[in-house]
Amino acid sequence: MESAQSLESQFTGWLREHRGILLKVAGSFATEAAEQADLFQDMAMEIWRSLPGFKGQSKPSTWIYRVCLNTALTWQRSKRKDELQSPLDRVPELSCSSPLPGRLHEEDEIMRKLFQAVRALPAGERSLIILLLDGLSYREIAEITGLTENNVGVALTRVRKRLAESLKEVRDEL
Amino acid sequence: MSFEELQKKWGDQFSRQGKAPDPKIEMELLEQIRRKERRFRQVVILMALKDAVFLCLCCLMLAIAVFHVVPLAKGRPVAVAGVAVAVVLTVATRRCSQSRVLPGARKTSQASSPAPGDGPLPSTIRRDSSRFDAMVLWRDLREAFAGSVVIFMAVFSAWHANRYASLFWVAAVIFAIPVVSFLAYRYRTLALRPSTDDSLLGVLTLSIYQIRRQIRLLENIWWYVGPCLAGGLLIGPIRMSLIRGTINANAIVGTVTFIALSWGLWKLNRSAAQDRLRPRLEQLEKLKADLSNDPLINQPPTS
Repeated sequence: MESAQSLESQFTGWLREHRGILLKVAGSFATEAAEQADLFQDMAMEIWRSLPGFKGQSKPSTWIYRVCLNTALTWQRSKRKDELQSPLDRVPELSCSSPLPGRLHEEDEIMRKLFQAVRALPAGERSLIILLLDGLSYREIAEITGLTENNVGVALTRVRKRLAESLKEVRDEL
Repeated sequence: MSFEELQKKWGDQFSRQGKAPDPKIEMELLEQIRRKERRFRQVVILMALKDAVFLCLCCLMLAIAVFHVVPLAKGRPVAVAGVAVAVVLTVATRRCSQSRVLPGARKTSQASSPAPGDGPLPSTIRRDSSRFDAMVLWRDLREAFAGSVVIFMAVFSAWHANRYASLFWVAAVIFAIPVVSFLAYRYRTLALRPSTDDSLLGVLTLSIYQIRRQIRLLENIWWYVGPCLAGGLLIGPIRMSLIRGTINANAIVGTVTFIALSWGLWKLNRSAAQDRLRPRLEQLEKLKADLSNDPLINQPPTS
């Protein structure tokens, strides 16, 4: 059994290295900055609680994705029904902290629209698209979700199509 | 814009945000974790108080009905006050547990993780985690204690009753049935708690299984209400009638009251299953269907 000290350093190291995963999941599941912060904390706590059970059978990033997505799905279920639907007109403050001039501002605008489109997807499909956007292979996605690689392929084709439809309007705007 | 370009932008966005540790924001994150923990503790304390009030009320009613420690007229205002306190505590618990989103927590999602070994975050979270486990254990103990008190009261009465003491013994055994069943159920539920590091589908499947099981339990609440009703009738109206040798109005009123209370409890549990658990089950089923793209999962849930 690992000592508490080594678990602590493993936890802090992973949190620093994979903080982007927590931010991505928080930004994809929560609209308001305060909610994102709340979810971020929940995920960090859940990683710490689950860490002693990590067997090293998968990559740390895959394991962290599992914990974060499970926590986010539970977090979303615990919210009231009227809060479940993320209104499309809200700005994800996580990704756009301040207005930026020129090209950078335009890129933030694209990200804002992308977040809106991702959040408009049903929670299950949202989980899949986050993993795909992050460049994970079908095998890794299958490992995280528990689906077979074939099922992942089928589901992702459907989800990509839906995302493209949502973003079509955005691309026209841009 | 191609999907690959979107992927690149997505990656770039978070690599840009994944840096710049700021100790100030880190402290804020810790403070929020502590605040969250404090709120959780408040909820647990309120729940404990509420349970204690209910328990005292039950004991008081039993003491008035069986031992006649105080006249019914004197006991009534105390019972009404107790119910009022319990209602206030229930509302306070609900309000406290609903306010999840923390005020002023805007910057924390931009917070960096602490550098290895230099921050108190891991130990804080570990302490919070063990507190959480302790609170769950405390809640289980409290419920087991409440059941034990009821059984003890029945046994105590059996020991001291002059007539028909055997009815108290039988009631004690009958009361023990739901208590033991509840503890066994709680033990099994703990063993089946989903682990967040399992796959999404695995966690969903286990959660669905648990909720279905809980719905079955609540919809078939007779296993809990039945023994309580039978035990209550035995040591209340039936014993009174046997002692007096006749069925009088009090016995009839007592029987009707017990049956009405049991019916209310049964109805409450059934509506809890319908209003709270069924929608959650449907939500989970839908989520699972969304994820797995399996048409079989889209079938309506069965209890």
